[in-house]
Formats: sequence, C-alpha cells, structure tokens
Amino acid sequence: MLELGAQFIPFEPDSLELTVSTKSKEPLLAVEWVANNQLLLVNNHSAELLFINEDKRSSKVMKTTNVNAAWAIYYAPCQLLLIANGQSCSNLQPIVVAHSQFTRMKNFEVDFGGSISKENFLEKDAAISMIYGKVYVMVFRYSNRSATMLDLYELPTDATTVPSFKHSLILGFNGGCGIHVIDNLVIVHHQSSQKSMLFDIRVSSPSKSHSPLVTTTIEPHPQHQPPPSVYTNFWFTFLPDVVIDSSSGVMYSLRLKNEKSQLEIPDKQTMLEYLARRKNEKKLFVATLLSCLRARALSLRQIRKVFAMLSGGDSASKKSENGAEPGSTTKAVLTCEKYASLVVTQQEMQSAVLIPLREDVSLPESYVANIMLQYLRSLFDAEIPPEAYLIEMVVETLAEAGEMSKLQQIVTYRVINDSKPLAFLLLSYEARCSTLFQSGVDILARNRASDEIVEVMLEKKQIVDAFRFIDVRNLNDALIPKVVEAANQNCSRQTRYAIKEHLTEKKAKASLYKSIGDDLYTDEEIQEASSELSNCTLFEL
Amino acid sequence: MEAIANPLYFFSNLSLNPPSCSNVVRFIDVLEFFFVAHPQSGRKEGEEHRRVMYFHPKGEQFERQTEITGFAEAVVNFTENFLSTCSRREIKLSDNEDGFDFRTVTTQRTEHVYIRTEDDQFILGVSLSKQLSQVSDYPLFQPAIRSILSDAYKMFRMFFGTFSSFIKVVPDDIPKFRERLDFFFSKYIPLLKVHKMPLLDHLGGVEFLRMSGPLYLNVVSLITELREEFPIIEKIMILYQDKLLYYQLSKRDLPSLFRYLTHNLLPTTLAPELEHSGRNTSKGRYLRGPTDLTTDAPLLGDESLSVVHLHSDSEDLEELIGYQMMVYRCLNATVCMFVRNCGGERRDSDASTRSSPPQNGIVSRRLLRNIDQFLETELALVASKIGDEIGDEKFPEATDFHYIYFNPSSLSMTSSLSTSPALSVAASGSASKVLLPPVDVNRLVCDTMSNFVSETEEFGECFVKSSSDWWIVIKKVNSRLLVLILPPSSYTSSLADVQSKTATIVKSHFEAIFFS
Repeated sequence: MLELGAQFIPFEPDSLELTVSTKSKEPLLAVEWVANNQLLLVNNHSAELLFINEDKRSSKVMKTTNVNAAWAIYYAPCQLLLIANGQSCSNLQPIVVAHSQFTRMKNFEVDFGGSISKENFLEKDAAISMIYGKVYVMVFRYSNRSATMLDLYELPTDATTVPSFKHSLILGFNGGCGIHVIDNLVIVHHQSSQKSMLFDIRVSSPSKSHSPLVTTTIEPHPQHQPPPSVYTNFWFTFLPDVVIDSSSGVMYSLRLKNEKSQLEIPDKQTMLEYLARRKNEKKLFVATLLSCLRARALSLRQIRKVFAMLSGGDSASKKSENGAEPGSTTKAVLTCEKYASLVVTQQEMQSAVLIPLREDVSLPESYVANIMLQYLRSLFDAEIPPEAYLIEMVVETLAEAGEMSKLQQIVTYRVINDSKPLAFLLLSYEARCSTLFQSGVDILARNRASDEIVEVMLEKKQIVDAFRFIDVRNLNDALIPKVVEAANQNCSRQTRYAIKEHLTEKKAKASLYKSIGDDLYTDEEIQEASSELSNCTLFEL
Repeated sequence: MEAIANPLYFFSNLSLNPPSCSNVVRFIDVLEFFFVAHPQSGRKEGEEHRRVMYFHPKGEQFERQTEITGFAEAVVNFTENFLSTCSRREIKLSDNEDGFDFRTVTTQRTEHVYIRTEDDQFILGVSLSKQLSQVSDYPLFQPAIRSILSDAYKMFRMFFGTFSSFIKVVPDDIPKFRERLDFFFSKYIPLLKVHKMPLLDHLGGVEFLRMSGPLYLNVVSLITELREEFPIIEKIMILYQDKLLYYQLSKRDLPSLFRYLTHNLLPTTLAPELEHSGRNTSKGRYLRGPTDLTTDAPLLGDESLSVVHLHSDSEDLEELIGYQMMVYRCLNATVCMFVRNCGGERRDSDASTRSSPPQNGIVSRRLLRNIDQFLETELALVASKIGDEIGDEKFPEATDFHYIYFNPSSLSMTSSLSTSPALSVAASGSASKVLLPPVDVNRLVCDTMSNFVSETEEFGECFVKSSSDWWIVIKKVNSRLLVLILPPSSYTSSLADVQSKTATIVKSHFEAIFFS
C-alpha cells in the first residue's frame, strides 16, 4: 500500500550570507526560519526571535522569552515551537510563534516509559503532526515488559486548556523505526522486520489504544530500475513523507496506494470509512461502495453507518464539529487547517450508486429498496431535505419489490414529502395495493389539489361524492360541466334528476347544468309516454 | 400442561371491576350463556349432551346445556335451507377477516348469536340478556356481539390452534379438547370487557402511534436490519407504549395479537417496571421466556417461549402455522418477534407432552442472547428518540366532542371512547372534557351505522339528531369511517351548524387525511 518515489528538486544556492549574534552565550539548540525575514533561535535558557534585513545585511532581536530548554522542535505549518525541559526532559512547553509574539500554551508532562537505563526523554522520540485538523505531539513510550507504544497528545487551539493524552498506537515491536504522517494516517516503519504499519485514529476503538489498520511493506515505484533496497540502515525518515537514502544520496517521497485498500482491509465497513477519509479519493470511494453493495458485502446496519458518515449525520462527526465550536469563544492561538470530510451529494449518490444498483437485475429489488431507505434515513438524520427524484425512486423501487405494506406505512407516516407527482404515482399502484389509493388522495388533499381530487372521484364513478366535495370546498363552477358529463354517462336517471334538482336549488348558472336535464328521457321514451298518455285518455273516455 | 399454560399466565391478576363511570362493561355482567359445540359428537340418541364442548355458566344443568346447543344447531340447520350456497360462499370470500357463517336470534329477553367455524364443524354461541344489558347501560348491537364471539374464537385459535386439530389427529381426544377450552374460556370470559360503545368492539382496529416521518423511518430501518441480521425471524411487530408502530405479519392476526399484547401481556409487565424504575432502565429485557441467558441450557418448562398460531403471509391461505413468540421490551418500546416453530407436530402430539418435554423450536438462549445484544443498543436508541418526540408533544388538547376513526384498510382506529388498560391511569378518555355519551346515543350510533351507512360503499354521509339533542355525524370517505358524537350545545341547533362544526373538526383534527 506504500510506494516509494524520488523527485528531482532543482537546488539553487543563494549568495546571501550574514552573521547574527545572540544575546546569551549559550549554545544554540535550534535555529528555524519562522517567516521570510524572521529567524527563531533557541538556547538553554531562552528563545529569541530575530528580524533579518536582507538589504542591510543586518539583524535585530524582536522578542525574547526566557524558557529553560533541553531540546526544542519546531512545527512550521502551525508556527509551533515545542520545548522540552524539567527533570528527565519530559515536561513539554508548546509556544506559538506568530505575529512576532511568543504565546505560551499550557505545558504538559508526557510518559515516555523512563527507567534507569533510559533517563531522559529525547528529541528523536518526539514529533509533531497535524491529523484530521488537530495538532498532535507524538511520543514514543518504551517499556521493558511490553512492546513500544506511540502516544498522541492533542494540543488544544487555545492557550488555557491543558493538552491531553488522546490516542495510543500499539506498535508491537522494539528497535529502530521511523514515522511518517501521510493524509492523516500515522505510518510507522520498522526496520528489522521490514514492515510498515498504518494507523488511522478515526477507526473507532473501544479504548484509546489502536492496533495497526494495515501492516504492509514499502514498494518502490516501478520507474526506479533496478529497484532500490528498502528499510536499509542508511534510511532517514522526515515528516511528513520524506525518506533520505544516504547511501545512494536520493531523497524519496512516500505515497499511499489507496486502490489496494480493498485487499488489505478485510472489514468492508472499515475499508469504506478509511477510503472516505482519504484526500481526493472520492471516485475510488464511490466505485468501491458500489461494488461492495453489489456484492452484498455489507449488512444494512453497516450500510446505515457508512451513509450516516457520508451525509454527516452521525453523532461522531457532529460532536467533533461541535467540539471545535466552544474553541471560538476562547481565543484560539493555534491555527490549524480544518479537515474537510468527504461530501457526496445526493446527485452523485444517485447517479453513481443508487441508479446502477437499481438497474442491476441480479439484485433483489427489496435489497435495493432497503439500501435506498437507509440512505433516505441518513439524509433525514442529517436534516438534509431529500430531492424529489430520490423519493420517487424509493417509491418506485419499493413498488417493484412488491413491498406494498411497507410502502403504505411509509406513505401514511409521511416519511416522504408530499407532491402531486408522487400522489399520481401512488394512485397508479391502486391495482396492486388498493390502500395506496387512499394515500394518494390524501396527498392530493394535503396539497389542496381539489380539481385533481374531483377528477379521481369521477374516475372512480363517485359522482355524487364529487358533487358533495365541490359543495363543501366551494369549488369553482368550472368543474361542474365535467361532473355533469360524467353523471350523464354513469348515473341512473334518478341520480341525474337529483343532481339537476340540486343544481337548480343551488342556483347554479343554467348554462352549466342545462345538458343534464335534456337527455333525462330519450325521444322514443317521450314519444312512448305521450302515446301511452293518449291511450289513457282514450280509455277514460 | 405447564408449557402449554404459559401464554395465559396473565389471566390471573387483572380482575378489577370497572368503575361505574367507565366506558367499559364486564362481559360477564351481561352474559346469559356462552358455549362451544361440536354437533358431530352428539349424533347418537341419548348422548346429545356430548356435543357440548364448553359451556358457561358451568353450573348449568346438563339438560339445559343440551337444549340450548340443540336449539342453536336446529336454528343453524333450519335457516340453512333458505341460504343458497353460492351467496354464502360469496360472503365468505368477500370478507376474509370475519368470514364466519353466523345466525342471530332475538327473543323477548335475549339476543343470541351463533357462528360456525372450521368447515361448519363447530358452533360457538353466545346469548346476552336484555335486562342485564339495560342495568349495565350496554346497548346490544348484533354485529358487535358477533365480533366479540369471533374474537374469542380467534384468541383461542391463536394460542391453541384450530378446534379441529384436537379432533383430527386423535379422534377420541375430546377430553383433552374440553380441558383446553375450559382452561382458556373460564379465564377469558370473566376477564373480558366490552365497550359501552359497541361499535368499537365491532370495528376492532388497532391504534397506531403518531410520529414524524423521519423518526418513523428509523423504526422501519431498525426492523429491516433486525430481520436481515436474524433471518430466522419471520414475522415482527413493534409497539411503543400501547400503540402500534410497525408490523410485518398477516393483517388477519393483527387485531388479536395487538389485543393480547396491549390488554394482557404489557399491563402485567408495567408494575415490575415501575418498581424497578431505579435500576438501569435503558436495559432491555425479554418479557417471557428465560431470565438467565448466560447458559446454554435448553429452554424447558417455565422458560420455554409461548407458541402462537398465525396465518401465513399469503392472504388466501387459511392454514395456521405455529410460531414461537419472543417479546423484547426496552424503554417503553416492545418488539414482538416470531420464529417458526420447527417442532411442527408438537401441537398434535400434545398427548405425549407430559411424558417427554415438548420440542421447542429452534429458539435457543444463544439466539435470545444475540438478539438481546442487537436490540439493546439499536432499540434503546430508537426508543429514546421516540420518547423525546412523544414527550415534547403535549397531550392532545381536550376536545368538546367524541369521535371514532377507523380505516379498514390499515385497521387503524382511534377513538376518544376507547380505553387501553395500560394507560388507564394516565389519561383514559380524559382527552375529552365532555361526558360520555348516554346509552341511548350509543345505541343510536349503532343503529345509524347498520341502517344508514352501507358497508360496501366507500363514501357516505349521515347526520342524526338524538332525542336528547346529541348530534351524530357519520362520514365515510374513501372507505374510512369517521363518527363524531357531539354533545348538546347551543352551537349545534341546526343542521347547518353541525355541518360547519364537522368541517372545523375535520380541519383541525384530521388534517392529514382526506375527509372533505
């Protein structure tokens, strides 16, 4: 899963040379470029910030702070200086060097597994890195009895909170190793076993301890022929992803090959979550998700969790967002790049996952419908309004799966938003599940689609009720001719007469109902009746 | 006996007399007699009394029992001549739910209803006294009595299987059959309560819980996940408090099962739950079955699960299948799971149950444990969400009218006149601040229903004013039934007033439903 590749970086020597002097005569522990024209010097008793004037080739001290230091490391992305002091050097003092100021954060004590043989905490056993938008100090903790651990201490963004122990990575070996942090993954290389371990601190764990997610071996990029030997004694590793091979004099960078994760991570849910957290791997993630769903490799419960992560509705991600919020009330001194989690929009989800699943004839429709419902749920949980198209698809798939009772209960509880097209869709399923007709009409009623309701009633030959409905709702008279026409076609003579009487009573415009009386009797009937009448009179005579 | 007895353990501790102002009546207070007869068994002369399988009251003389059942048989056989067979078949087919062939007899003092079941082999009969019903303010309504009778039969059938299964296999197992009938009905009948509004018993719906759509989706996906995880579960039903949320079983079994759960099983569990309210309440538990899930001992005797006989999923099959029932409860939510009882012959080999323990399906402690593990987290999550939402909602504001709503297609029923024992403490009918309608109004509602509202029509409307100035509005829209009972008031003096009042009520209380 790891690949080694070398880069050619042009190097142009600069001609500028200047001498700067420090205030104290102590030996320097660290020299760092903080900004283009600022230099940070750390010695045993103090840290100094110097301003360099390139043109005048001079320098002047801008700021000094007194601090005892055994060693110091600097993390440029956050302008963070970490100073070790105290007995056995295990007390760490983070200082933010920004805006030409030294801002001290709360100091903290780390446990490095000190013993008689190992009295002091050393610079080589500590590193700083940013993981998922938070700054961590990583500390190797040695132990005689058990294997080495890598402890992660999280630095808060404000100056008042004490940094706290957050994660512990179980390395399970002793001996020489190197650390990289690539794409929010902590990677520890072990030289003697020639293995590299990938840790993802977001993989949920019951305790603070994490086991390696993947144990793998670095492979050189095929462009390097012959392939360079890996894990040699001459290797020096630098954060975030740099390897320097001192024997051949090459500087390599390390790259993740996420496309192999499907082979390396057996648990599909973990694997999908892993992919979703990687940078610029959306395409790969969506494709992998689809193939997992196609293979039915995930249980619905796992699918729900994956969807919840995508929609951002899961409690974990919400909490972490909220966790950052209170930081804004206290003044943030540490600025870190925010970690943006993967966003897959509804359209992407539909076109890349749901529609292909639906079109896959080998999958049972009910399974696809359940997946869609899980997706719908994740949207609701994240309070994202689902799009009409998605809802329509869910309804259609449920109907295809023959899950009529489920569909009906879902409609009845208004899980899905009302819309007229949906109502007509439901009405069209009446033949297969008569109760859906009710639901469809309900939706029309909620949408105040009175005209459509009248149409539906006429369709069902409920002419009198259509009239009653028009009356109750005081609907537009324009509907009446339509109803009259339907009455002429379907109703008995008595009903037609009643309707006519009703309309007369209501004083409706004569033009609207004239037709109903006209053909109450056919010409033959009238003729017959009149002849009968003349017969009667004949007899009377 | 023990294993068979266990579904009915509850019938012992719920025998409180309803208060006089309540809207229910003890069935036994109006009952004249109730019987189950098998005419085939009494064909020989001099042995006619053998057809009586069960008779209530028990003290009745043999001759009288024989007389009554003989009369019933005679009525059935005589009227048979006037029923063309084809029309009867039609009735049966059109109404799958209640497809029992029935006869009613009205005498000066009593109302009789007889139903025939299982290929007309058995006759169940009931007679209610007119005088007693007057004393108890219970209006006699034939269709309701019929429903009560068939419900009793269905409840028996749910727990013990069909009547004929007793007789088919071992022809002379009549004593066993009598014993079962006696065991069931002598507990069922004395505890049975009927509504003073008989329409409620007649419609026999179930009450669904109202909740928001997104939350409901959680329930649906919980059930889907549960069924995927445990494919052995064939049928499922989930309730919150005493209201239904979701079900996946035949609609024919729903009312009986719902009634059993809400009226019998859940109320008995409420008391221990209140007692132990101090302990970790979010922990779910099984209501029946073993208490100790840590071992792998087989489930025997008291620990074995109840078996219920349910219809298969395809609507046209009459066959009953035995299912083992697991009832899991957590934070007011109850999940009922049914696993097919693989010991299919168990029911029939009852005779041997005493010698050898019954083979009890495939439900093991291990399965119970796994389901517990699943539901413990997932159900608690959903149940607490529901609790939050329900808690936020105030009790429905007091209404100044009574109503019955029933949707035959979903069996959903709500009414201001119904009571469920589980909630009787909290708010039985108190949602309505008006007095309960007097008996004559109740009777008028029933009469109006049977005389003016067609069973087959999907639409209809009817306004009736009682002599005591109550108004009754019956609306049938799209098969749904809404009965409004408006007390006398100055706002309802004319028909137009009532119509506008009805429109207002529909608008405010049944907004989501098409009830123009």
